[in-house]
Formats: sequence, structure tokens, C-alpha cells
Amino acid sequence: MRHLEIVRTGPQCLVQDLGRPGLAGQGVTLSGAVDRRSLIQGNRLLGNAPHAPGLEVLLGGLELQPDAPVLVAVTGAWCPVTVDDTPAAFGTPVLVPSGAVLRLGTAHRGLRTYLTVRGGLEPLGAFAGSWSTDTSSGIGPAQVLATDRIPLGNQMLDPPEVGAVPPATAPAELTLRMTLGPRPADLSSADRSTLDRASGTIASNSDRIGIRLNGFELTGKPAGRPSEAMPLGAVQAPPSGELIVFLADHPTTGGYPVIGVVDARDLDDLAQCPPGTPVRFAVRPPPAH
Amino acid sequence: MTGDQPLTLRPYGARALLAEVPDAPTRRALTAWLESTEHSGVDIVPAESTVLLDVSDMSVDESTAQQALRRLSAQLRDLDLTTLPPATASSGSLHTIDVRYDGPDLTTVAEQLAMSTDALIRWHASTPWTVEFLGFMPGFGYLTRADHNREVDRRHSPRSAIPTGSVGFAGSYCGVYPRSSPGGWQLVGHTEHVMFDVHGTGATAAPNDRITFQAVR
Repeated sequence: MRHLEIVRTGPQCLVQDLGRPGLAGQGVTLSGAVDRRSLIQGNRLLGNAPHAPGLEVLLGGLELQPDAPVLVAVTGAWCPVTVDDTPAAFGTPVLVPSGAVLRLGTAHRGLRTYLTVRGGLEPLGAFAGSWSTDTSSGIGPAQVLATDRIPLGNQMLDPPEVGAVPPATAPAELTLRMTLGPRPADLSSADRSTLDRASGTIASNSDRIGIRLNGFELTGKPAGRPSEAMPLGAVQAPPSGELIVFLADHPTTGGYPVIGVVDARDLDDLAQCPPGTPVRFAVRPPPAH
Repeated sequence: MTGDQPLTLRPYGARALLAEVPDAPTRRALTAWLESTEHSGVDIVPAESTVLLDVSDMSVDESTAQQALRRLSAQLRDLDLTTLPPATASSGSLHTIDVRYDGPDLTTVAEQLAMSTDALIRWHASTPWTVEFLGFMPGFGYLTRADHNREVDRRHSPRSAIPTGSVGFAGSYCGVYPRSSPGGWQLVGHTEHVMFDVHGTGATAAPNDRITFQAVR
């Protein structure tokens, strides 16, 4: 069996695929890559199934050695890539010879770099057909650490592509499209106008569970309701005044009011934005059903 | 069995719909009906007074998700709740779970339920509890019983680590912690029973299942 041998990791390195949808009724959240677009791009370059597991590398700083020649792609936040100290290409397939050291330097202008490998990664700990590590519940493989040996899979569909993708660049200011709901009438007109006009910033205690936003001081305190299930992207407004945009590892249920849901297309960008990034909302009314 | 108040359907982002239910029997009946009919790609996630209908698989594009939700909401609007068969205990599985009643809050819970600790143990382990819904963490079921109608207060200060298998009370619910977690429930005992199998089938219990606790020493 072919493996990647992990020599060194940065602050956080996780195996992620596209998660395990359909299990919220068991209390199991979606999980999966928080910048799904970048993982899918890497898998496409390599001819993998779009959901093949790769490494989600927070802030770079990864070093590994394959025990057989492997084709890899580095996507997401840009970082310097070297193979045995020789610069290698970002965003396009790169062949790493057996025993060579692949090194990802510090990420720039984004938080999360994705390393995909032809065939995908299949470490121990898969649950319900997914290799994603759910940081909130501990379901899935353990966090990737130095000396781990990660087996490679056979999750390919096509020959690798001759192509290149640009890095995922965190915007200087992010506008999140948000659909109001599930109870838009609970939002006071003052709060509604705050959401339209105010600008907030990403707080440093943000993670794969949720991105916390400071600066939107909502005044309305809707009546407490029993906990209920929440979809990906739900924006919770706890009494502390911050807003929490829920990402892949969010709890399946929550008891604080939810004011809206951020468009899935904007969550990939949000997951790349460092703390301090200014954020605005583009608010839309709920769809008619 | 179910109420005659209608459901309130609320759009919840572009990929989900929240059904507010008037009471628990309606929620149980609606959940059972939704589980028994074909709504491909739509997750059914009940909670105390709502059922979330969520197209959580992000590989399904937004317009397909909206189509599925529009179809489902039309069906729900036409649905006469009074004709839904009540979800009965026999529609779920029965699980027997051994409990050692050695929890640190056993006497507190007994006092709040106005029983002796011995009476609490006999009562808790007598007849089956019903799984209402799951949430909070993988495999955590909220359990009720018709004769449990007093509220148990949460602890003023939550414990930072409640051990795996702890059996506790909060509000009108009983529950078993499938793994260690911070929490404010009052603990009456613990079980070795695996409530969530990460190596296999996931959650032991599903909504409308029943759980009988059995006292062991």
C-alpha cells in the first residue's frame, strides 16, 4: 500500500472530504472541507472523484514524504511549494518522487491550503462513507500529526488534467449574501437596517464550527425558543452581541435565535478570511415556497 | 391524536424549510410520516417544536434543492394533520440499557421529583422512555415518558466534563451522554451501553424508539 509519511505539520492539519450529509437526525453534522471549492478544484486537477479526501492545511507549514511516486495538487490559500527544496507549481498537478520531501510554506492571503493526492487519502476512522474529521464531535480520523502514515486510496474517475487553477484569495473586505429567516418578522426594523448598513469584523475565536463576527450590535432580543435544527450557513445571534456564521462542523441544533442563512457560495471565501477582515451583509428576503 | 392547528412552514435559507408544529404528538406523527414517504435528498431533523427539512448535500445545486422543497411544502400544505396516524411506540425499536445508579446528582433529582432515591431508581427503570429527537451531539437522544411531568433544573454551573455514558435529567427530558462533553444535566447514573458507534452504525436510538433502563449493581 502507498502512503504519505507526515514529517511536520503547521497549527492544524486535517483530513477532509465533502463531509457526511444526511445524518443530522442522529446529531451528526455535515463536516468536510470548509473551502469546498478549493478541495474540489484539486480533485478535478488530479482526475479524482470530487469528494476524494485531501488534507486541509491551516496556515501552511506541512512537510511530508510519499513512499511511492504520487501526483499531488496544492490549491486554496497560496503558499510556497517545494519538492526536495526545488520550487514546484501551485494549482496544477505536481509529481512527487518516492521518498522526496514535499513542503508547503506559510500560507499567504488566505488561511487554508488543500493538498489533494491522486486517488485520495484513506486513513483509519472513516464514518458513514466519509473521511472528514469533525472537530466538534471527534467523528472521523484523528488530527494529522508528525509521524502519521496515511494510506492512499483509489478514488479516481478520470486521467489527471492538464490545467491550472488560481489560488483562493481572501478578499480585503467580504460581502456575505444572507437570506433572512426562518423568522424574519422577529427582526426589528432597527436591526434590519443595522444588517444593511453596518460593517463588522471576523473575531479571532473563529474556527471550523463557526465564524464569529463583531460589530453588528443587534438590539432586538426575540423570545427564547426551544432548540431546533440549523442548516449550514445559519447566522446565530446570541445575547453576547456577536453573530456566528455556522460552518461545516456546526452543532446540528441550537437554542439562540437565527437571523438568516449565508449563501453557500460565500462560505468558501469566508473560510479563507483571517480575523480582522471587514464583513458586510447583502440581505435578501426569504424565498417563496 | 394530533392537534388541528396547521403547520407553519418557514423558508430557512435557500436549501431548507422549517416546519413549526403545534405539539409533540403532531411532531411525532409528522416525523413518522416524512420518514415513511419518499423525499429524496431532504433530511428530516425533528426537534422539540420544529422539524427541519434540509437539503444538506451541497453537491445538489440550489435550484434542484428549491424544487424539492417546493414539492414538499405543497404536499405539507395539502396534508390534513388530523388524518395522520399517531406515531405509536410500536413504530420504533425497543432498546434495553443497563444503568448503575451512582450519579452525583441522584439525590438532587430525587428531591426535585419528590421521591426517595430508591423510588427514583425503581420509577426510572420501570417503563420504557420514548426517544423524541436527537441533537446536541451525535447519538444524544431526548427521552420522555408520559409520567415524567415535573421539570428538573439544570445545574447552576455546568460541569466541564461529563463522562461518557452518564444518564441525566434536564427540564422534562432524560438523556444519555454518548461521549464525554461539558454539560449542565443532573446525573443519576451511568451505562456502559454504546449510544453512538463510530466504527459502525452510528446512533443506537432513532426518534420514536423506546428505551428501557435496567438497574444493575
